[in-house]
Amino acid sequence: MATKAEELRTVLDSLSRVGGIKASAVISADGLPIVPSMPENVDPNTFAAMIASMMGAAETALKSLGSSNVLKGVNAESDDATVVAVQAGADAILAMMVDPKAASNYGLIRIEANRASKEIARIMAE
Amino acid sequence: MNDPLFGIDKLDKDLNGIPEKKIVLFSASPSVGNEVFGYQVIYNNIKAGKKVLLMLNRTSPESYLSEMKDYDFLPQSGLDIIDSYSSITGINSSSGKSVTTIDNPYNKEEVSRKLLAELDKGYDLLVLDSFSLLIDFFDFDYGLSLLSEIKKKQEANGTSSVILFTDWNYEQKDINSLMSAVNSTVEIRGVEKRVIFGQYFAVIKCDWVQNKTFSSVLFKAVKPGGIKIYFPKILVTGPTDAGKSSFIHSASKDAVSVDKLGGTIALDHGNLDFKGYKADLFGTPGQERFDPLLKLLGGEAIGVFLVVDSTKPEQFPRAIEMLRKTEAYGLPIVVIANKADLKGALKLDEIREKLHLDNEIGLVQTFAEDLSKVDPNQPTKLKKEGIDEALSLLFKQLT
Repeated sequence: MATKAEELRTVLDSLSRVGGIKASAVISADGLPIVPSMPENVDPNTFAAMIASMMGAAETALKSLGSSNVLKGVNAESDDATVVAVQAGADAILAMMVDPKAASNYGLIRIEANRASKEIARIMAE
Repeated sequence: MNDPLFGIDKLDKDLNGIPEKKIVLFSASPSVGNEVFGYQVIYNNIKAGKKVLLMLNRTSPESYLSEMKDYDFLPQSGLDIIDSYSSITGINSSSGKSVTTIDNPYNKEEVSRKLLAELDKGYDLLVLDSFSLLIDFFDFDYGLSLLSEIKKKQEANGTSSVILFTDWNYEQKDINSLMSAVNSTVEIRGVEKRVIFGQYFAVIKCDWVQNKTFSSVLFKAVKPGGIKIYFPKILVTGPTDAGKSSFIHSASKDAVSVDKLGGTIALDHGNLDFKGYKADLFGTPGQERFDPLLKLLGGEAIGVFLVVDSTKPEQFPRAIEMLRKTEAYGLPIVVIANKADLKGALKLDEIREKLHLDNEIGLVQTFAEDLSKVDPNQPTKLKKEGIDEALSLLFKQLT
């Protein structure tokens, strides 16, 4: 039987076949990399910590507006890099580096991300 | 009986109140308000049993009193008002307070006569709101001559005066003669640097206090509560699990933490109100992987609380490193030795030595309010004594 990490990696592998997703990672809610599949020049620890900070800060900001629902995700965009982070259950975050030029593919990316995050949540809860 | 007060802690400490026969000018730039200083001075002097006269031409007595009420400064009794406003609007004053009405506020002679006659009734304090409007109605020379008449009355009756003034770009020579006509000037200005910091006040002149330099302080006018000395950003940093979030939650009301699994992952923020001071606390995460946030969180801070775990001297080098990474080295600092009630906690002098702290640097122990209730996933409530001591020590350095 596959370990959790292997199962998670399978999910990330399926994402890598979606056009426009350059890399992806599963991160714990407190900012530790669980399964990073990032380019070599990226420090997975810092990346994971900053994604978790961003998600946590966004969640707190929404709560301060009175939202009582769970944060779904955060997009961080610049001209040459885009990160889409979605909550994958209470304990994990799925972060994807997306090619900013792949805007036309964004619908598919959202659907795949949604599917993958549910899968990750299920694996994490096992 | 004591002299009239400012009712603003910092000014009363620096200037020892307002001695009789003295005139204090509150000079504000147009972007900031000075009226709250008036409310606070009036309220506190009436509370202290002083007889106060308000010369009012800025607004009606009713709305003045209702503004005072918003700040919780409504005087219970004893405020006499000369109303030099209502006759302009034609709406008669009906506040029920003791009011003298000026029938024609455009008549210099009537304004002076009624004000000076009223002063003969023996007041402890005159508050004039606002002097700039008097100048705008008439001219600077009238304003100055009225001041010198007021001075004569002060000599005879022992009254002190507080003059509220907004500096609408008057000519410098007029400002200079106004400043030399009064005994003390407190400037109220806005600060706009890279960020808008808010407002500050500073004593720029005082002829009854010698050999003292006065510092300027940031403030906020709070409803209710009035003038509070305000510190917009105080950093709380230190190694992981030292108790930064606990400190912030214990020191402030409505603190928010961005935390997961018992550790701060983005920041903590708390807003505190302590002995007339207001401050916003910003707490950093402690774990190394969040270090890229440190510089960001430390920017523009004006003071630091460094929180360390008294039982973990092996973390002390990390504590120093965090001071460096937040670029907070050299700011006014108080070191908090938390968990001083745990077994194995180092003594203060041991901590001082191991952290290489000079003797002048404040070092305060903090304790859990109830050790049995400590939950590693929640900020711990710390005992008030340690928190208050730490806040007092830092605020003393900042003012």
